[in-house]
Amino acid sequence: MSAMARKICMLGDFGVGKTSLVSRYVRNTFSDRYLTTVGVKVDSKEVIRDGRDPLKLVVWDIAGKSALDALNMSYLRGASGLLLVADGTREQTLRTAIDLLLQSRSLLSGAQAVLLVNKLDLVERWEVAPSTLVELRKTLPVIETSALSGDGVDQAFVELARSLDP
Amino acid sequence: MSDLDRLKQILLAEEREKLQRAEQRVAELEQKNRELSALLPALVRAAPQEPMTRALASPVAAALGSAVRDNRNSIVDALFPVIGPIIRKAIAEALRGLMSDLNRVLEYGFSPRGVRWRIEAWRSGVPFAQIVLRHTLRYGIDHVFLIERDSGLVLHRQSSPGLPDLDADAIAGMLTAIGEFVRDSVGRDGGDSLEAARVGDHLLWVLDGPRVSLACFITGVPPNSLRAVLSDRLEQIHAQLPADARSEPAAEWETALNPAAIIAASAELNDRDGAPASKRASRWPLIFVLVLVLGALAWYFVRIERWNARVDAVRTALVAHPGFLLGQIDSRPWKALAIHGLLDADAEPIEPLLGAVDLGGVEPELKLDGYLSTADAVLLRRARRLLRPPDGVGLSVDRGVLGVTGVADAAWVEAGRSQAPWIAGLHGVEWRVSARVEETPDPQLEARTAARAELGTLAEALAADRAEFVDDLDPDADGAAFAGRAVAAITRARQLAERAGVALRLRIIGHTDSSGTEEINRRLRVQRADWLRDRLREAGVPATLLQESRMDEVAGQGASTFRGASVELVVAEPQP
Repeated sequence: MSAMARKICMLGDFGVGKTSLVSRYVRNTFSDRYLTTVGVKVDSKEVIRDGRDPLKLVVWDIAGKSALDALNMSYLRGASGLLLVADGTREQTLRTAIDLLLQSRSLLSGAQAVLLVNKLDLVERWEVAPSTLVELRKTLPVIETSALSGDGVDQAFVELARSLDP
Repeated sequence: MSDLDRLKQILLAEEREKLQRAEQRVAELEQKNRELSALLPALVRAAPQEPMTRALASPVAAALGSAVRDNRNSIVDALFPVIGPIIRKAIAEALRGLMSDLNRVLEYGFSPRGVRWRIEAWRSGVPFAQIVLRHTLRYGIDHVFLIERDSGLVLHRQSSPGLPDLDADAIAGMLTAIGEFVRDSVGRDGGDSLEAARVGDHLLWVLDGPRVSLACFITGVPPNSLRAVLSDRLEQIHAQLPADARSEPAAEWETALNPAAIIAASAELNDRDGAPASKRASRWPLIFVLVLVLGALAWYFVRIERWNARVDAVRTALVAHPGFLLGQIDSRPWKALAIHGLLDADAEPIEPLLGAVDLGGVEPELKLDGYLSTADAVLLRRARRLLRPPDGVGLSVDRGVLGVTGVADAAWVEAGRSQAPWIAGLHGVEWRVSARVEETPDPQLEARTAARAELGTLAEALAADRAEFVDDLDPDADGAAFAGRAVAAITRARQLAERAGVALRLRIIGHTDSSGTEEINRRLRVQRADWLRDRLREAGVPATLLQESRMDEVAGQGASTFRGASVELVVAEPQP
């Protein structure tokens, strides 16, 4: 194997843009239909890290839900990192992302997490206040992204890869 | 307002107000309910899909169940257009599978290869299906993934050369996710897992261990021994699995998960399983059975051949039999023989022909119909039956032409000539029969015959009469009378000879006894003959007759004691 592989999961409410972010970042090996059938779609992306060995991120795009059921919890097993995705235009999705993070902690206590506040291209319609983001950045990395323009997407994945061991 | 009313108003004003608000609220709710029925479809369409779907799932399922119970016919009618094509497709698929199985059974069951495999299965005691699989399996292993069960990450991967690159991590992840999905959906007690999946010729086997799983991507149909090998490899890997398998990949995985090595190990396992059985089996029972089978086959074919030869002999005889037209022969060897054909009523019966052939006790069954034969032999028999030819008449038939020859009565000839052309089957008649002429009595002939007969009688009588001499030339008393009798006889003989048309001569003989010398006796015989001649001349016998008479000197040469003279009538037969 050319690079160390790590499993990361994307969590977030419906319509926050998880799949669009993955599509922007990785090659699509499988159809999006898996999201509505199996409830998950897996892709991979190799990330080059400064001064360290490259890392392959195996991205599990879990279908959007406001709460994790047993099947979703089984999808989370073995994950080293979490990409929490929220929609900046809907403040509720931010609370959902935080709830999902708290739920996943029971299974993934040591997993690294990065919060992606998506739809930066619609920043003028954001409900999430900048002050809220400032407060959140005190506990976990928060990156503003746009799946439409690609802004912040690579940075988010690289940030998560940088935080993973080794 | 009375005091009571004022008191009621003071005590119940608050309750009345609540009641009034409640009544107003009820009226508003009823109004909303009435309006809701009209607004509900639009509200359902406008509602977010997933929450609405989840909300409706349970009541819709309950409603559907209730409808199936209470109004089954409506449900059946509604589903009929859907169910029909599904059933037809399922039947078509089943038939296609059945035909495929049937073809395979025929291929494996009756081909030389199939027979060889059956013998191998019989000898080794291994089921025939397993033998077929052992010989027909052609499979390959495309990829072998060693996957961490928790994360779905690929710990190690081996692929056969020449295959296109693939995203092993994504595939392993999806495989793990699908495994979780299947386990969560259909697994019981959480212990079951996805073990195999097949798409066309591609097969996926997943073997789960406590920490890692082995996923094997296969093309074709693998033997069961492959699963045993994979299980063994998985156990070996587990035994040596480091605590942090992600960061410490083991070098031996390279060898353990090599597809070619796995296939080789599977083949070796197959051979090892089959070897002891081969050693146990002996060839002698097989040879014995083969000899028995060959012997039975040889006996069967010889018996059949003998029967066919005899039936052919019957056929040859029947074909050559005049007046019989062979249709067909139905036979079951040594059991039954049925002969179908046409037989002319005038033909020879065919039973003697059949009796001459040894059919092993089988009694031939004759199924015959009549017909008219034009064979020469049959025509001859028919002509003889109808014409009844008398002695002296011969019949023959040559190429349909009847020949009649000989002599017959005029009445038969007349009847035969008219009847012969009408004999069925004849092409023509050659009539060469002459009628016999009846002979009429001939009086002259009869007279001649009678005269001839009387002449003979008279000659005999005259030969017996004679004149005896007492001395040399002295006849006794009867001697003189003899001359008279002789003349009368001669006269009668002359008449009869004339009537019979024959010539007459006289032979006058002198007789002497043996005493005396020969010279004397000869002279006496001459003298005695002369004496009788003279007497006959004197009695009127014509000189021509006497002249033609001969004096025989020798005939009367005596060896006896008679002395005298005699005369004989010599009748000459008429010249034709």
